[in-house]
Amino acid sequence: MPYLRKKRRRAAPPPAAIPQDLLLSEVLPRLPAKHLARFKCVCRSWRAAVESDPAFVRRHLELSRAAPPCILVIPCEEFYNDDDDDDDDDDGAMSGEISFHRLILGEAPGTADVELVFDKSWPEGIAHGVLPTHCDGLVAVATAADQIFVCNPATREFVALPPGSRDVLDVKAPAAALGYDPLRNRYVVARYFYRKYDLSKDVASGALSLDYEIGHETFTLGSGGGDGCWEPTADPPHAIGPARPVCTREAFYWCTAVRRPSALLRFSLRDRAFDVVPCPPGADYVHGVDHLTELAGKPCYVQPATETAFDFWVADDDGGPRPEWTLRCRVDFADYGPSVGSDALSVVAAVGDEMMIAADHRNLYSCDGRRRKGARLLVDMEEELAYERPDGSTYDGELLHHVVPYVESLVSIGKCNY
Amino acid sequence: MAAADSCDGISTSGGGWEKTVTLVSSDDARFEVREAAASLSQTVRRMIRAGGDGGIPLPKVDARTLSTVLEYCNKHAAVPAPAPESSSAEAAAVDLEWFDKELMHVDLATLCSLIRAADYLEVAGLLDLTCKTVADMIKSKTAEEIRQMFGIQNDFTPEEEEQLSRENAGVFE
Repeated sequence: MPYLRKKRRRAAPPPAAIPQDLLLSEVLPRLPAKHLARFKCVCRSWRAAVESDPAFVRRHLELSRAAPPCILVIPCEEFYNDDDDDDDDDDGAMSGEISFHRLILGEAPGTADVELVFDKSWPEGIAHGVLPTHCDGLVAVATAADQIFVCNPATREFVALPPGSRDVLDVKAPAAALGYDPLRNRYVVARYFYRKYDLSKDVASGALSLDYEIGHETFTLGSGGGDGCWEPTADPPHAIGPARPVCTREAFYWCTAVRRPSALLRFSLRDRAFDVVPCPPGADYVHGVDHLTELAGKPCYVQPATETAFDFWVADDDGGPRPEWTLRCRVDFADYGPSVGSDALSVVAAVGDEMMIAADHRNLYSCDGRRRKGARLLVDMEEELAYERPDGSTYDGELLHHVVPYVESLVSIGKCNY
Repeated sequence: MAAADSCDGISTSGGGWEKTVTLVSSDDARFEVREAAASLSQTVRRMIRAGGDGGIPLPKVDARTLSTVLEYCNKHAAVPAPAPESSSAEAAAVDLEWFDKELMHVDLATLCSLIRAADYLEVAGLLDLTCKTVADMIKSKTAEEIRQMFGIQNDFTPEEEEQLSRENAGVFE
């Protein structure tokens, strides 16, 4: 049979008169990816648009960015690799799966829920200590076993990047940076590694000193064929610590290790070079006490101000030599005691002066930066959320709830469709 | 919206002097509109700047569609910009949302005419509203239903169709 079908029966109502190009350029990009997956079957031009038309993928992303903010939760079993002492030998700390859930906030408190977006079984094992970062619908998940996965939960693409250069640290604080390089129109993953790492304590003074050699490399996604390789960059000018890197549209920011010097290392995606950015005035970066996060696309430094409050500093990320830090707001967690932010703290959504803050892989708070009211607990993820697998079973046990901001997209990991 | 036969002029509606323009639909109906409302259309705004008399011809939009477009423009251009956090701003936003929702209570054919008009006239807000409405309408449809709605031929070979359904097999709803 020729592949053009017979004419349809007359009973159907006359087709709606809308030009194909308007349908493709204006209507379809407003649909969530899961519907688009079904609509690929309508005809060849629809399939081509959804899968490989850069204009379509970019328009979909643009509209997705303009939509109300969305949050992705990645539940992982608890692990105990809190510092970078390489004395624990936890081969058993592996999971055979990883899943990505969209957070749905209810109107009333206590009615938050999660919807499974994508669930991937990985029999080779994924180390429990993970750190996810997000850029344009892609999520990079770095693990304590020094593996990096990149996933687009909306299109269900999941890629394990090839191993990078060997790190002398056996158990590593998981960290990978993921960002977009506008000059080359490619998404880029970056990691650091130690060629040498000797941490010693001076017996007399108790001061820590680190003898190290550090390297840094990038992996460019979308180079075709799903393969690619790690490319070395210039070495970072200082040792990098275990904090989560910050990825803006211009650069990656890494925190220095062992407190000296207390600064941020900025890796420009344009120039592929490092420079050293000072912390806000008076800040002395201490891992687990101070936090680095993004706020509306800019690097944001979170500094303890009182026993229960934090100052949020924001710097312009215009590539200038000396970013100016501006104190954006102070947020007080007074109603929730002094332990908030003792493990992790990041801004996961910001609309106007409203911020949503994820703390300690467990709680989500909302606060209004301008009204100077205290933070308000939105969701206790441990108590309120039940993560379902496709077969209806749920994730049990003690979980760390990793939260990242999320913009749904059709961006492909293997090929450049944008 | 009544068709008016005057040329561009000045009207006193709304208590103050407001400049108006006349738009002419494809079927020669004339609409006198406040310039502020008409200027929500980038196409009309450019034509106003270019000048000319006897009204602005819009040969791609019929009277029925144009009157709905202008209903949208009049409503949206009428909104003043009060302080963003005042309660009247909130009420105005709720009122607009309600208005938009009511305006979209039309059949698919009308919606499609509105999309074509909003695209041609470059009324960004209306294009967004109508496209979102159609997107919501088709969300739950099957591929075959979509083809019927928009008169699209299925041009896949049976082999390609089989491959597509295999690819989609793992997708849960």
